[in-house]
Amino acid sequence: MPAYPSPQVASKVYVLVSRLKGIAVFVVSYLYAALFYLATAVLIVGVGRRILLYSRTPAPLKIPTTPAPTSTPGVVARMFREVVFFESLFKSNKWTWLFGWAFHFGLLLALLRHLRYFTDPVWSWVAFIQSAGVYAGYAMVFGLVGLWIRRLAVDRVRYISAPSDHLMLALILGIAGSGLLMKYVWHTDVVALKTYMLGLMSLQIKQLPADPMLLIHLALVICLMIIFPISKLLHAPGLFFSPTRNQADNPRERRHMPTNA
Amino acid sequence: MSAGRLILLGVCMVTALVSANTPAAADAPVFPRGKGEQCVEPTQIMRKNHMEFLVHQRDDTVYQGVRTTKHSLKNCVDCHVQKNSAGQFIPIDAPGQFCQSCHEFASVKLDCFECHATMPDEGHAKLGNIPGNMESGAATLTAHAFSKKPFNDAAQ
Repeated sequence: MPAYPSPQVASKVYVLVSRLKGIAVFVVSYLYAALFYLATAVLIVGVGRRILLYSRTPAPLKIPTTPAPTSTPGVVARMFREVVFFESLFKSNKWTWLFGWAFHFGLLLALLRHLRYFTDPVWSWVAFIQSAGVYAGYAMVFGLVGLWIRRLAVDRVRYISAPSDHLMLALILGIAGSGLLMKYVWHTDVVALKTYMLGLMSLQIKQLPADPMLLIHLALVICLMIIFPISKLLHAPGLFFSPTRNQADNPRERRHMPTNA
Repeated sequence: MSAGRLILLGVCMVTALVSANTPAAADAPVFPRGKGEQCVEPTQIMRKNHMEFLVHQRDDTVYQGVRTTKHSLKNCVDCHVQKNSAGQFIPIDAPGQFCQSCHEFASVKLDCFECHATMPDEGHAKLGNIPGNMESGAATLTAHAFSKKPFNDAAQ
């Protein structure tokens, strides 16, 4: 008796396996489509609701962190420096600034680089930043690892760290790591992926390339989108509503009206 | 207008901009088929890993001196290049051609052809075989560079 199956059996097994694969791809494509629609709705509605809440929260006290600008253009300039350079963090702690700034700008560049999956034809400036965007992934990992070491190694920071602080770092590190692994080790079919994403945007469900690393990457991104409106990650919109940052130091010139932020 | 409404407006504008730039139903790029029945590797694997095969082949060839043809870029071009109605080769990195159509779609820069030829080298062979020019195409090229004649004349 030969140790291998007869050609008839082998071909039946082949047909069965390819049918099972087809069913798996179908299920995965629809599952991820449903999750993406859900996550997008949660992200937009959740963050929108938070922003409304923030904008309606009264700021009863005049408490800009001094020295503060004395005019509105001055406040805009200060907010700009805060958002772009993380000025106050730079003044308070150089290491945290280095890791935090590297991470955030890596994240920004990586996000912008991913616009190529959602636009057709790809905008010229998105095409232009593609090569720089690869290094953004490294900057993210560098920053996140640095921030996590800080959280574990600095006594006072470890003491005030909640599980969610670690979870956020793990989640985003997982996204950056799986992205880099796809770029350099386990590639996926980016053309099929883009077709799937453009399909989602026009409410058509195409086939998602079912590569494990891609599925991990996308699942983590979906988690991030869902968790964003109920997490510390809200510091992104929240920064603009901080009374200590968005107020001008002009209480004698103009009476403070504490009804709104 | 409060800052909150301003941000909401911004989010709406970005969303509108992105959706306005998305075609109703974008399909994967269409490109001409290669000559043979089957590529040197299964199609699904080529779609993901063709760049790895090419870089690996380059390392084998340049560093180890192992010169095989299975994953050679020259063979990719030979099989996938197209001719226009006049029977001339179309560069494989031209819009809509085999390499460029997907690279354009996915916005991945094609840097192979900054050095490598984008079509089979019949043109160069002709260039070298002009009667009375025994040395090589290089001499012809040099002569033409000095004569300031259009380059294409040499091949005819």
